[in-house]
Amino acid sequence: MADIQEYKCPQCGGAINFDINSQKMKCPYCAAEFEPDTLKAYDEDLISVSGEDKIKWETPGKVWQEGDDSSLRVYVCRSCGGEIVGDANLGATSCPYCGTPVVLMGQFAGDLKPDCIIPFKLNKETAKAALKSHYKKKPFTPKNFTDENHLDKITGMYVPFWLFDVDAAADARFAATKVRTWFDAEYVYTETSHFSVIRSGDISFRNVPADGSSKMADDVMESIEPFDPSQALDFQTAYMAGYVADRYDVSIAENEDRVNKRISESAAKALAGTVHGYSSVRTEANSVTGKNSRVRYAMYPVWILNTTWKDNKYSFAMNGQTGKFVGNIPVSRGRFFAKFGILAGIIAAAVFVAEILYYIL
Amino acid sequence: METVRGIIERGYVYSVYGNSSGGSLAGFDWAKAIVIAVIAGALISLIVNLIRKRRHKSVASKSEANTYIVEGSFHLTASSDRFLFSEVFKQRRQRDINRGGPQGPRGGFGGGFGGGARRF
Repeated sequence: MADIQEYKCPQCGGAINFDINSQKMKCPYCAAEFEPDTLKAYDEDLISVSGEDKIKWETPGKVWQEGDDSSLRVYVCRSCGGEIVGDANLGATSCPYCGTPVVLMGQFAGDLKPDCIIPFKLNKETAKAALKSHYKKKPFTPKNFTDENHLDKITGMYVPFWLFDVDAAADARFAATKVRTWFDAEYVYTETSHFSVIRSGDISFRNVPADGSSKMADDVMESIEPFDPSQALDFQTAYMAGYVADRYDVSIAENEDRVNKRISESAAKALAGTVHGYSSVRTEANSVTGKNSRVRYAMYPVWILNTTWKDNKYSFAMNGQTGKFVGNIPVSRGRFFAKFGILAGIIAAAVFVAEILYYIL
Repeated sequence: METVRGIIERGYVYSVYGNSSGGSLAGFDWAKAIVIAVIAGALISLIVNLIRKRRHKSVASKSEANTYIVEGSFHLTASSDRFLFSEVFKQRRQRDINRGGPQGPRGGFGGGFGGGARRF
């Protein structure tokens, strides 16, 4: 059985969570607060002298065999004995029977241990309010979408991210032109001078994120950027108590292309910004060579909100640190064409009146 | 059956501006004006509403990493601007047919490189 870590209040034994407001571990039953370090040390003491009997029993009937369904794992809750079923990447969750937050320590041990974590700064209520606000700002939201849209689930999730640091040496070649025009009595002359412009420069990038979870859509995770890594703390599993977390299942190598393209694009833009005095500038080629590159493994906080409307699922995400909220909202064709018609009518009438006045006056 | 145009011409507009050449709508191309108004209204409304529609989509991939550039880390290490060649086109100036009047669509220096443009 995998090693699981439960966070319980040393005072009353209740399941304890990470509290966003105090940024400490807080017992919801007796209101006791603990530093994550203190609680972790306390839990380690408990584990070292667990008083656990080690008796193995034969399990009758069919049991899961290796390869039966490699994507599923079953853990046993130490509090109530209930089974916690998760996939191979599950790192933190709550017992579905007693609600005890559990962290599957093996998912964050050894090479899998993240370097840092940004604890949640915004709570579930803020995410709900942000969702409502998100609906309101859209002009063509279907009439009953806001009222009839059922919020199925809000999940506070620590998403695994790779953070890429690099000191880059960038080179770019541009095709540039200068255009000069003059005329005499008979002709207009246009002279176009062509130049090959080369720029090289050094530029450093820090903490370029790429999510390491195949469950999270890349574009959604990129849309809730940026996170502020200056608020990242050394990783401790205690911060994950009460939230869901997965370990990474998308490797650094699988993310390299995506990150390299972003870095290359930004480096080329920075170099293009130094090309002045031309009528037109077009990037012909650019390349980046990395120096002092390193990759760190981080856990970033994200609220995932799943809703249903007319049997269709809609997902939204909120940056758990900054509150940046994203998610595509359906467009009502009826509302779109109604607003199109009203505005077109107003403009057409105004143009028509303007035409008459112009003719008369 | 009396048309809208007829009502306007005989009624309000004529009563305001009279039927003289100064404020008359005589000769006003109603059909053309309506078509222009409708097309302009539809086009502007379509553009405005398509821009507003984009607010429904907030999920998009990022193509750059500008946010993560270390402030002050960018230094230019090499720079060269090499002249390759130049080309000159000349185009015969078109004379205004009606000197002193407004330039028509064919007047001025427009019209591309056709009709006498020459590359050196």
